[in-house]
Amino acid sequence: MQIADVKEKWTNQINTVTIGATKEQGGTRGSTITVGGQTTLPFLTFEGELPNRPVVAGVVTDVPPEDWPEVLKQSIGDEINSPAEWAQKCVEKFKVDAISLKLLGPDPSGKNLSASEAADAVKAVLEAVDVPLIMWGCGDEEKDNEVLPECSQAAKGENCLIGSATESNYRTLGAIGKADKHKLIAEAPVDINIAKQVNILLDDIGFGLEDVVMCQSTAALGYGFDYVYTIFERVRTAGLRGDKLMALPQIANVGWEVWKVKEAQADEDILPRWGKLEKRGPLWEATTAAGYLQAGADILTLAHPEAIAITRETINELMTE
Amino acid sequence: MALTAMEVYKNLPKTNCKDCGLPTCMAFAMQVAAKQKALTDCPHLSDEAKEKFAESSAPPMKLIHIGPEGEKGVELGQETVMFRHEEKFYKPPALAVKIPSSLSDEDAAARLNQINDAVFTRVGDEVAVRMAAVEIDGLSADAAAARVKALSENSRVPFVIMGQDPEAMAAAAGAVAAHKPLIYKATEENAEAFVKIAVENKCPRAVGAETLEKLADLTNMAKEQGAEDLILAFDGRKTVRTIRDITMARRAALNKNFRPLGFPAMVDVSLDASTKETVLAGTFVAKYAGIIIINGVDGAELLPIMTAIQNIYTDPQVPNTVEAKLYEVGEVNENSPVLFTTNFSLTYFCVEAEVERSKVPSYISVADTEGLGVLNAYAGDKLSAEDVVKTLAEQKVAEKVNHHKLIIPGLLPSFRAEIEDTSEWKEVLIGPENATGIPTFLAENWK
Repeated sequence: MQIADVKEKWTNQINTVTIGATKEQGGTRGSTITVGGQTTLPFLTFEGELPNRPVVAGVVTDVPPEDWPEVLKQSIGDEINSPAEWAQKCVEKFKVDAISLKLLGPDPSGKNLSASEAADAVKAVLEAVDVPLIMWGCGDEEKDNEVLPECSQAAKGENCLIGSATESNYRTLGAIGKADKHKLIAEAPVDINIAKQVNILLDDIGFGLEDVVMCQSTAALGYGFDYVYTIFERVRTAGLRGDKLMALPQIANVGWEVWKVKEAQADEDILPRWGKLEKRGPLWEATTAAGYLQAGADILTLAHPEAIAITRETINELMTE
Repeated sequence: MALTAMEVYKNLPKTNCKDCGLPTCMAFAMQVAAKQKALTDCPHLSDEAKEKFAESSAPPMKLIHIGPEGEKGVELGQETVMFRHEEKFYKPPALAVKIPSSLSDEDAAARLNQINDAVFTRVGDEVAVRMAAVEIDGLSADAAAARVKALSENSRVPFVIMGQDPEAMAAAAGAVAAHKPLIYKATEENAEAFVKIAVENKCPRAVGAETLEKLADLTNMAKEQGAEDLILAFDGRKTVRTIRDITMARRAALNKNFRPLGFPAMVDVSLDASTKETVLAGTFVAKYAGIIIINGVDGAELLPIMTAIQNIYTDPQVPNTVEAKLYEVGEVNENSPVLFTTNFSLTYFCVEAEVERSKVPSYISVADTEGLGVLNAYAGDKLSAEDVVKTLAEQKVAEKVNHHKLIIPGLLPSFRAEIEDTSEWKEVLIGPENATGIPTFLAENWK
């Protein structure tokens, strides 16, 4: 029998954002990535277009991430000690679409490296690989305001994606994005109203929202995942229904966040019967990523090579009718 | 689809008799539309109107019960929304671990034991494998009946019986009919025989078809024959197609009140490749599955799926809270640091996770802020320095340690002076603003 027509009529298209610049475009990248452009919810091709597939960016840090569990460090190997070699391994072995460089070194509560040391890491990664680059500050806003301008300049013309512009530092980020021709990540602390507000602020200072990717902060499965999942969905449906301030691609910083939680840190000695960390950790990461894909994530950062491999396969299947 | 007040009003006696307790028929109609009154609260409703509304006032997605009544059973259906933020998702999906027919009786029993044991506690809630999917394909009718019978005697969970052959299914379902297993699954090929089995044994049944149109034909046929306890079955391994079909079926039911698809859904994602299976299962937790059939029974595979279920099926309108009390992380002693935070579960679990990561055994004193995070609680007058002092006193924290140092959230530096002045906590340390800073903070400040 004929079934009821259930196609939704979405009225707006999500912005299309390209990251990376080839030689012709003023950069040195061998490839670029383009995300967004949807006219329907994730994977509902019967009622709209999904012109661009979600992409995977491999997490790399400028200094070795000391807090990471051994299983994760070992999965990457000795290359973890060199951002350039690590990035190369991500591209050649793990087959990521982009590099997501976390500039951990300058963190005042850590190594407290200088801005120029961070910029050196940026340059090294750009030289080592030719995929597009995403870079994030350490999270200490005062320090990031020093570090990110120098890193941005070191990558001038490469059309990187830089994070994160927040309510308090959007002016600095907007200025460097414009000056050095980069895209920006607008970040809010798991709050849809602040998320919109950051976009309004960026728009107000003339940083076009067509150059912005939203980040809702990222929660690992079991640690606020439900909040972030729902904000992703609400942002995407608002965007498709015509709210231009919400019609932006979204990034989930999964690889960076997941490995901080107990289920991705503790092995069976601490969590008896919960399975080997070696297996549970990457699955925690990949399942978190799979959830965000369904909610509307366009860019996923991932750290563990197995999580990268499963997620790439998942994306392939989701984009193949 | 919900009735509008006008649709209800047209069918009322329009006498404004007030027997329903409301002043006018229109007022009553509006309450019915808002689901605050049932149509049957009108004592003068005509039989004609009753019949007319019986259909449309029933829930758009039928409630289906599998297994014995009570705790061991699984209830699915009566979902109301496409997005959890619109209301909430009600009936958490049940994981059904497969017991393949290729296993020997001994191995099948061992598998069932693994399933029986797959009960875990996560953040204070019990999570468990809630069904066993016993496959009977390839077994003779006698062997199928013997297998399900033997397993049922030792099972913590209700069964999905997986088979295509009507003869074997009739024998198996008959052997354990009292346990109300789910018969899986009726297709175009075996539909008539399977309807008969379901009717005779009063068992719920899964139906699957190539297209949604054919699926609707099958559910209609079942309805005509009085076997209306149905689950829509999809092949989760055809991922994108199943996401589409399961979404369309749910929209048809919830948004268009399309009865032939107004049933809960299930997916089979069982694969040999266990990592992929876990990720697919997680995907269909988000995308509307009521039962998810898997092979994996290792904790490493189950916990991510179960946690996804916990998260997606929490009520987004109710703040998640943890009990307001004194928590101990690690092997604490009288020299351990004391940290203070609120009972918003996300806040607490972040603090707890970071304290664990610091490897410094610590006390965490949690105040009842009605589920608000630190800043919101402060802004909303749910947390003051006085409340901090009171909470610590109630929890008798001072008796647990032989120091007077208290670590407060970095977002509340102004509390320090008042706490120091009004309590035995004479050395208040202002912690990091973000929980992620706790390990560094403790490393530097707690030697």
